[in-house]
Amino acid sequence: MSETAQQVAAAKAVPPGDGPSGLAGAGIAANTVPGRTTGGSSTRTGIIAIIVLLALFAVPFVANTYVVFVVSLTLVYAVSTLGFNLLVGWSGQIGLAHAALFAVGAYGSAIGVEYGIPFLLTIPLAGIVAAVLALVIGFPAIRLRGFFLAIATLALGMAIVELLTMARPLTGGGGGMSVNVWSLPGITTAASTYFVVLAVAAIMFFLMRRALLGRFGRTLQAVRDLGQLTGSLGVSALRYRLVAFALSGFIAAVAGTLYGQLQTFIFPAMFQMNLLVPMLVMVFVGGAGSMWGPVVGAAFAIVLIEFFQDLGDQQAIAYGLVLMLAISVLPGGLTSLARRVGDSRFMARLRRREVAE
Amino acid sequence: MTTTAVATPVVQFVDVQKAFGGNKVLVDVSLDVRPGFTGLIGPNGAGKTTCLNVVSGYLQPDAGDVRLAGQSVLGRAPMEVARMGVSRTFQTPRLIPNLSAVENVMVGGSRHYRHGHLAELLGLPSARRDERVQRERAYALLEELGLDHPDRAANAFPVGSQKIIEVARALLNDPVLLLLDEPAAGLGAEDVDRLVNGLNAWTARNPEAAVMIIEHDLELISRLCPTAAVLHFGRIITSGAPKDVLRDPVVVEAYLGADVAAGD
Amino acid sequence: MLQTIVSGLESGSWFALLGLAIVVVMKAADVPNFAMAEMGLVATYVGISLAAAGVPFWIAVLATLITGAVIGVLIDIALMRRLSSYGHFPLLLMTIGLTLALNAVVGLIWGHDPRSFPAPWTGAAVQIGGGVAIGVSQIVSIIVGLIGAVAITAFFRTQVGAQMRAVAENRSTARLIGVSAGRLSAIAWAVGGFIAAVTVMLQAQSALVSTLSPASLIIYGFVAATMGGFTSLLGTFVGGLALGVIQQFVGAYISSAVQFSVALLVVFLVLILRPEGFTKGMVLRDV
Ligand SMILES: Nc1ncnc2c1ncn2[C@@H]1O[C@H](COP(=O)(O)OP(=O)(O)OP(=O)(O)O)[C@@H](O)[C@H]1O
Ligand SMILES: [Mg+2]
Repeated sequence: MSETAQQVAAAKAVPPGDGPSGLAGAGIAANTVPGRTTGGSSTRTGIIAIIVLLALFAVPFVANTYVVFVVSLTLVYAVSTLGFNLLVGWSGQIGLAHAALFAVGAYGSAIGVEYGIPFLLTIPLAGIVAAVLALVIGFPAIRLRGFFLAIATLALGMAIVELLTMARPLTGGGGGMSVNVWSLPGITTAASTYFVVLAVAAIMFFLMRRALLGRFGRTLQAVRDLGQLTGSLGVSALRYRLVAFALSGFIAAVAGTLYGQLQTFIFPAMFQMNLLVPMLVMVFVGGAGSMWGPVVGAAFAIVLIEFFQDLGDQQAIAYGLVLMLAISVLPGGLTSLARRVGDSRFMARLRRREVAE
Repeated sequence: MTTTAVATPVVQFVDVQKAFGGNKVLVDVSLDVRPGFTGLIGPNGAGKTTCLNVVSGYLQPDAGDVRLAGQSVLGRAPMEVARMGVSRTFQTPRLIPNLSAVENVMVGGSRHYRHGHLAELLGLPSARRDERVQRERAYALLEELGLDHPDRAANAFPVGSQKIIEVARALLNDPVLLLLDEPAAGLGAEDVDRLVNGLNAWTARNPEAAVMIIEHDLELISRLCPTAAVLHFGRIITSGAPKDVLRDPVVVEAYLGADVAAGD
Repeated sequence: MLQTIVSGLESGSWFALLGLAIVVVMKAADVPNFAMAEMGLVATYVGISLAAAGVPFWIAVLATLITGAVIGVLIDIALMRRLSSYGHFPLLLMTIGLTLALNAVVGLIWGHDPRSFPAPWTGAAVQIGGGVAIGVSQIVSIIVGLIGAVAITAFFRTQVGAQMRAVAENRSTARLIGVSAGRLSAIAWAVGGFIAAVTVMLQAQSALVSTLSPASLIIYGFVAATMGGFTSLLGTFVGGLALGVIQQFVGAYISSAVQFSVALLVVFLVLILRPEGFTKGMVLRDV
C-alpha cells in the first residue's frame, strides 16, 4: 500500500479540529519543559525558591527606591505574563485582550478602594470580575481559532478600554484617575507596595507551578496539541479553553491591581497597544509554554523598556529590530536557547570532548 | 483466551450507512462486537477508520444505529462516548510532543481521577495519591506493552512507538470498548510480539472488555482475534474465524486488487 | 448628506482596499499582517519624495506601486517564511515588530509632519446641483477602489489565484498536488504590498498622511476583513465601504470621539451575528 495514499486517507478520516490546532500547537509545544517532577528535583526547586524569595525579601532593606520600584514592576509584569503565557503558551489560544483585563484590574481596584473596599480585598475581587469578563471574551473561542480568535479578542479588548474612557464619572475618562496607595504602617509606601507585590507573585507562581506541572497543565497541553481529539480521552476541550481564558483574565487583573499601586495614576492610554506589545514580547521571550519564562520575559522587557524609554525614532527602530531579530533567530523564545544548548548535540559534543580528554 | 462465544455484544452496528457527498463509505454495516478481540480488516479506503469514528462520536451515521451495551451512541459527542467507556487510538498518532511518554499516557486517565483541579491546586493528599497511582499504572502499562524509556519526550519516539503510547493512553481509562486503528503499523516483529502479549495480558484482566482492532498485518489479526470481519467498499463481505475468512475467495479477490500480501 | 455619503465611500474605499490586502495575505500565507498600512506608508513616502524631486507624477505613482510590491516580497522571503513552521505566535509578533520598525524608519527619514501626495487633480472639484461640490480626488479614490476590488476578484480567477484558494482551503492537499506554497506566498505578499501602496497613496492624494495615520487605517482594514470573514472578497469590500459611510455619519451627526467605538461595535456585531463568516473560513476547512 502506498504510504502517501494512506496518509491522505488518515488525514481525511481524522475528525474535526485536528489539523489546525495541532499545527498551531506544534510551534509552541516545542518549548515546554518536560514536566516530570522527581522527588529530588522538586526538593531542589523548593530550596532554590526559598533562597530566591529570601533574597527578594531583602531588596527594600538594601536597595534604593528606584531599584525597589523596578523590581516591583518586574514582578508585576511577571505575574501578568504568567497569565498570558497560560493562555497563549499552554492552552494555545492567542487571546489579545490581556492588556485590557490588566486595565480592569487596575481600575477595578482603584474604584473599589474609592468606594471603601479595603485594597487587599480588591485584589481577588478585581480578579473575579476580570475572570468573568475574560469568559465573555473567550466565548468566541468556541468557534474561532488561531488568528481569528486573536482579532476578535483584540477588538473586544479595545472595546473595554474604550468603555473605561467613556465611563468618566467612575474612571475620570481619558484624563485618568489617581490611585489610593495602600501602605503598611511603619514602613515606606514603596517598601509596603513591594511586599504586597512580592507576596502576590510568590503565591501566584507557587500555585501556577503546581497546577501546570500536574494534571491541569497536562490536560491544557493535550487540548492545545490534540484539539477536539481530547474528546476521546474524556476531556472537554471547550471547558479547558474557557477555563484558560478565565484564569488568565484573573491573573491579568490581579497583576493590574498591583500595577495601579505602583503607578499611582492610571489612564486608559496606558493599556493600549503600547502595553499589549511588550506583554506579547514578554511571553515570547520567556518562551510560550514554559514554566519560568514569564520571569525572564518580564525582566527582559523591563530592561528593554528602560533602555528604549523615550521612544525616539532610533529607539523605536532598535526596538522593532531587536524584536524581529529575536524572533528570526530564536522562534521559540529566549528560554528555548538554554534548552537547546541543554539537550542538543552541542552538549553531546562537549561531553564527548570531556571523555576524550 | 477467556472469550465466550455467547457473550452479549458490547457494541452493535445496526445497518449503519455513511456517505461523504456521493462517496458511500459505509453501506449497511451490521456487526456485533463481543468481549475479547475482534479484527476489522479490509483494503485501503474500505471504511474501517470511518467505522471507528462512527462509534467514538466523531461522525454521525446517515442511517442505522450504533449501540453500546444496548444504549445508542448516536447524537453523543466524543467526550460523552468516552465517558461511557470507549477508548480509542488514532491511525496517525496524536500525542503531546514535548511531554514524556508516561505523562502522555496519564492524559488518558480522566475516568480515574476522583479529585478536581481545585484539590490539585491546594495540594490535598487525595489529589497527590490519585496522581501517584495513575503514574504508576501508566508506567506499568507501558512496560507491559513493551515500551522502553518511558520518561523520554513523546516526539523522540519513532511513529511505531508513538502508537504504543497511544494504546497505553487508551488503556489507562479501563475501557469497556477499546478501538485500535492499526496499532502495529511501523513496529518491528519483536515489538509486535510485545504488543500482542501486552494486549493479551490486559484482556485477561478485563474479560468483559471488547477490543476492536483494525490492522493490515493479517498475521497479527490471526494471532489475536477469534473473529474478524472484512470490510470492502463499505460493506462487510464476510466475517468469522480469521483462518477461514482469509481463505474465503471473496476476500482474496478483494485483497488482490489492493496488493496486500496475505500473512503466512 | 450627499457630501457625507461620498466622503464615507471615499474613506470606505481605503478601508476596503486595505482589508482586501490583508485578506489576500491571510489566504495565501496565513499571516494577519499588522504592518500592512506601514508598508503602504513607506511606499507612498518614496513616491512623495520622487515627486518632490521633480519626477513626473505617473512615474512616481509607478515607483510607489513597485516599492509596495517589492517590500511585500522582501518581507515574505526574509522574515515570514522561515517562521511558518513555528506556529502562529511568532508570525503575529513578527508583523508587530515590523510595524514598529517601519513606522520608525519613516519617522527617521521623513519626519513626523503630515504630508500629501498631490495629484494633478488634487483640489479640483465637480459641481453638482444645489451648490454641492465633490472633490475629484474623492471620485478617484472610489473608482480606484472599485477597480481594485474587481481586479483582485479577477486575480483569484486566474490559475495562480485558484492555486491560492486551494492552498487556503487545504494546505497539505495543495502540497500533494504540487502547488508551490513558497511562490504563492511571495505573490500574495507582492499583491498585498501593491494594494497597500495604492491605499495609502489614495489617502495621500486627498488628505494628509503621517506616521500616525497607519494606526487607525490598519484597524479599519482589519474591521473590513473581519466583515468578510477573512475570506470573502466581496464581503470585505462591501464591509469596508459600509464602515466608511457609517464612520462619516457618526462623525457628522454624533461625535467623532465615538467613531472608533462604533468600529469596534461593528466587529462585535459581526462576530455575534455572522459567525458563519468564520466557521466557513479556511481555518476550519483544514479539517
Ligand atoms: N471526513 C471525511 N470526509 C470525506 N471523505 C472521507 C472522510 N473520512 C473518510 N473519507 C473517505 O472515506 C473512505 C474510507 O475512509 P477510511 O478512512 O474509513 O478508510 P480505511 O478503511 O480506514 O482505509 P485505510 O486502510 O487507508 O486507513 C475513503 O475514500 C476516504 O477518502
Ligand atoms: Mg484507516
